[in-house]
Amino acid sequence: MSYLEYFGLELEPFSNAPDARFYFDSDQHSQALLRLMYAVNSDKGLAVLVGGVGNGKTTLARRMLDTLDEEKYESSMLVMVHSGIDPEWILTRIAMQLGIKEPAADRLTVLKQLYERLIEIDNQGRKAVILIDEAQMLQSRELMEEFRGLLNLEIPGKKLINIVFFGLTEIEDCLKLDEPLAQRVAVKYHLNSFNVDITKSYINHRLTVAGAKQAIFDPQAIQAIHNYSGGVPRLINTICDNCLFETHIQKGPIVMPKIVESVAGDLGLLQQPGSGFAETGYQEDDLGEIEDMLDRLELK
Amino acid sequence: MAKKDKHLAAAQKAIQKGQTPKAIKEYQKIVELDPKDIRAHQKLADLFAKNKQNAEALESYEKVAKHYAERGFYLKAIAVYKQMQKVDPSQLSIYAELADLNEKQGLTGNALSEYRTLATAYEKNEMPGEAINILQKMKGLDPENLNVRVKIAELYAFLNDAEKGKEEFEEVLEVLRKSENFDKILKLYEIFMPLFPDEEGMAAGLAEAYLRAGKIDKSLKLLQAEFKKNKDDKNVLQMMAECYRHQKDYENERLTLQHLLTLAGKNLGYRLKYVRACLNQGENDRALYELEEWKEALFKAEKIDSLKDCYERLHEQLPNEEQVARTLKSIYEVTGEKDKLKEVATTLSEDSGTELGFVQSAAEDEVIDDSIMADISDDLEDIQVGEGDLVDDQEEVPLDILEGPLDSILTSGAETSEEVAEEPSIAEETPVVEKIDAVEEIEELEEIEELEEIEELEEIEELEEIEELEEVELEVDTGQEVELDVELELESGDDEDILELGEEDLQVVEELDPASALEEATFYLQQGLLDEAENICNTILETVPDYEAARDKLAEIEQRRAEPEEEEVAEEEETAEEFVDIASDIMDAADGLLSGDAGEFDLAADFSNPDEGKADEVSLEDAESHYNLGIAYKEMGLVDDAIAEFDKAMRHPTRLIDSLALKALCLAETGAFDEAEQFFWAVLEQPNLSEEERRGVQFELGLFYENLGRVDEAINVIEEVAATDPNYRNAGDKVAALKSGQSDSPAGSAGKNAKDRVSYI
Repeated sequence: MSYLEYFGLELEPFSNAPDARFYFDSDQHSQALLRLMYAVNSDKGLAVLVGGVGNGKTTLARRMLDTLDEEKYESSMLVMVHSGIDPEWILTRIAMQLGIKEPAADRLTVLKQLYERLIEIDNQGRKAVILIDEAQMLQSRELMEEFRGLLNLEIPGKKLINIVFFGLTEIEDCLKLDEPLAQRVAVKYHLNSFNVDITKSYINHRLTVAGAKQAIFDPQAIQAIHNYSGGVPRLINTICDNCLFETHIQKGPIVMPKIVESVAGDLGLLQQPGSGFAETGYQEDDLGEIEDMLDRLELK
Repeated sequence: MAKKDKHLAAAQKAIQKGQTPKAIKEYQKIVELDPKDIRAHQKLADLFAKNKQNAEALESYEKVAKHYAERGFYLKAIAVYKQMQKVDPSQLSIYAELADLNEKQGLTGNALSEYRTLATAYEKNEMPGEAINILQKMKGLDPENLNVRVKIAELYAFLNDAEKGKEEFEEVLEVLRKSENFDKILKLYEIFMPLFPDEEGMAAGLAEAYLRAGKIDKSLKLLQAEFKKNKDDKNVLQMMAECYRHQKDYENERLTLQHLLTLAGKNLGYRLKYVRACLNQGENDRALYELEEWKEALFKAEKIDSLKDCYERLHEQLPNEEQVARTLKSIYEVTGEKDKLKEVATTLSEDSGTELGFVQSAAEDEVIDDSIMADISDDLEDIQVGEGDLVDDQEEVPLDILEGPLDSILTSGAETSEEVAEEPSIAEETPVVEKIDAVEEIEELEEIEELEEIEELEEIEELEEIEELEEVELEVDTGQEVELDVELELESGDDEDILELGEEDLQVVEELDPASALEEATFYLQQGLLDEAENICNTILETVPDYEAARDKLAEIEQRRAEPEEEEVAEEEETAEEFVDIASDIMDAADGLLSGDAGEFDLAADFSNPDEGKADEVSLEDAESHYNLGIAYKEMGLVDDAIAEFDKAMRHPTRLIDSLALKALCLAETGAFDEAEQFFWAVLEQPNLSEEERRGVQFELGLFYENLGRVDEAINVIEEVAATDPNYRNAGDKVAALKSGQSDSPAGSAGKNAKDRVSYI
């Protein structure tokens, strides 16, 4: 018997794989989405969402993509998986994503194709939106300049394309590579980790989506989870998933603080400050430690 | 090891955040804690390279490369050195290491490629000695590659080591001569002429190359210059004659050959050419005189075809010349050409006698000694018998003119010409004496000009017999007693490349023949050698003081001397200019090769073996090496290099499918998605694909589609895998996950609305 059956769950509640069904509409995520949509709808050109590791940037990006109705938006998301790309290539990919089936081989022609396509989209009463996830990988000035060039495609009164960067804090450095581009950022929003209340809501939300009919986590356990995770959603998921598994193995009725302690020990989280992350707000060093923790867990 | 893990995690984080310097620090701590962690060294090297710390990167990479090489993991070592090469392409030692490792791994092509780059670099850096060492290694690996040998010769010349350079040059020349590749020979001379300007035979060699390549004017200019340096070079004279013949300047051809005959009067090949030149020039009387003088020797030398040809031409020009007809009739009797025999017989007057053949030999201008003709008839008959065809009821008469005593040879059983005439004709090119194997061997030795050289070939036993024939008294039926001098000479003309047996009355050369001497003077005059021409004329006049023609020639010489300077100068200038042109062409060609430009130093092009490049298939062993090297490159992120290796590996059927699949993956990594997809499907269309292989490729294609956000296509191909084996890489679960939108792939989870809108870069 798996722990899903043991706890009467239909879905794995704390998988770290992105799954729109588990989207948790926290206040700050709502605020972020609101601002980003505002930037797009008012043709601001460039918006940026910054967040630490595991704070839900990708989730938000996908949420936003889902929100962009195809009837009103010609939207697409590019996920950067490595930093070695060149400007021409990214331009070509954007062109393809916006519906240009056969982008030309040379940059100028592609830009012309893009411009014509953007006019076409605008004539349809739609907006062109490009979301770039893991945008901190855009590490060259040339790439930044290419984006600036794209943002210059406009007709009187409005931009023809809107671009939203989702990335780690290093994205600020990338933007600085091209100061004029940095100046074009119309909206910027930082995603922070959850406080204890939100952590509690988050855990309950996921359990509900997964089909839980009753409380599975002891309130003290949730507090402990928050303490060890620092309110980072991805880390919360990892701890909760392990806790459910351990409780199932030990035939416990619900997840108790003792189990959380044990899991945190196994995950190497005990050395972390026991509490106070969420309440006191995060300093840079603290965030770094959290990221370290997440990275170690991912390595395992 | 917890500490190491901590640093590792910190390094990973730094990498993810793009903080390369921080990652470097973490990896430096890791290798300090665990110096044997070779992967950490490699990662550190990668980071150094990324951070443009090339010196540190090279140092770290080298540790890794040596680690692998020392343990025999040559492919991995190669991949690391390749990384180093990318970091700093100017480091020549890396090329040497790569070449050495490729050689050890048996990847000769790759080794040669590295050596080639290295040799070029050494040459560019004016390090010819080092370049030669590398080229020698290349020669060892690929002895058939003439380009390498040409380059070695060139560099030796550059180092003023003419002897070694010439040695290499000769080797290449020999190969090209064997293949009769005159264009390449010409190119070779063009390269080496400026390098070995003082080497004997270079100019003549170049002239010959021009001649064979059809550049007659250039050839002749060079030959004329050579002739002025050495008037006794038979090879030069012979080529000059050939040039004149090509130019249809038959007078000069004849004069040149006449001069040549003063040097080698017994060479029947030269003699025949001379006759032909006479015929070409319309000097029929002279041709007839020569033919009548030499016909017996030519018969004995089995030059009956050439003789027949010359006489036939003469007969056309001089149809009423009885002597021509008589000789021609005798020839037809020997060759058995009945129709022609009858035809020519009708032209003869009745007093020619009923007995066709050689009964008239007692006459002053006898046709051909009947005993000789009898010998030849017998020889021909012998051949026919020997060949077992074309023979009626002929009695076999074994005869070999070189084996029997000469007297008996020359007087033995002359058969009637009637009988000979009735014999069936024989093929024109039939060799006469099949036992003279030695002659056939000698015929192949085209360069050998003099008998003395041939005589050194002791294994040719027949030659000993030939030598025995010397000094034998010969009784001919003219009643004259002459000394038979049997000589073998070879010459390398177009159609006379055959051993000549010359019989000559020695008195001929001793006396001054004013007419011949005057022609010699004309020849010198033609060649612009006025002093020589004048000397000859003066000599003639000393002997025959009232020889008007000699006086006229002297006057002509004087006139030439007195001719306006400008004409002479103009001509000389023209000549000089042409020489300059030739030299300039040569130097241009040579400059290109000597310049050291990478593009010019083409070791693969000019003298490449015609068979090169045909080796589309590689051996199984090589395919394995290329395949494994491809994987090593791929692991190290050298995707382009990996693709190149997979391309090579797939030439062997055993690695075709794997290589295609891996190439597809590499292409996907480079972002060439369309091409990658094509390659995946190319693999799936392979007829010999096993079920296991098919599943593997389909699954990879599914993942590829999934990563591109093409979930439906991903589901389709992975479903096929699941249908045959649901447990194969959990294909069943994968399909379920893709269908439910819960795949690990973010693309899959984006929902229907988003699946085509997400792209990975």
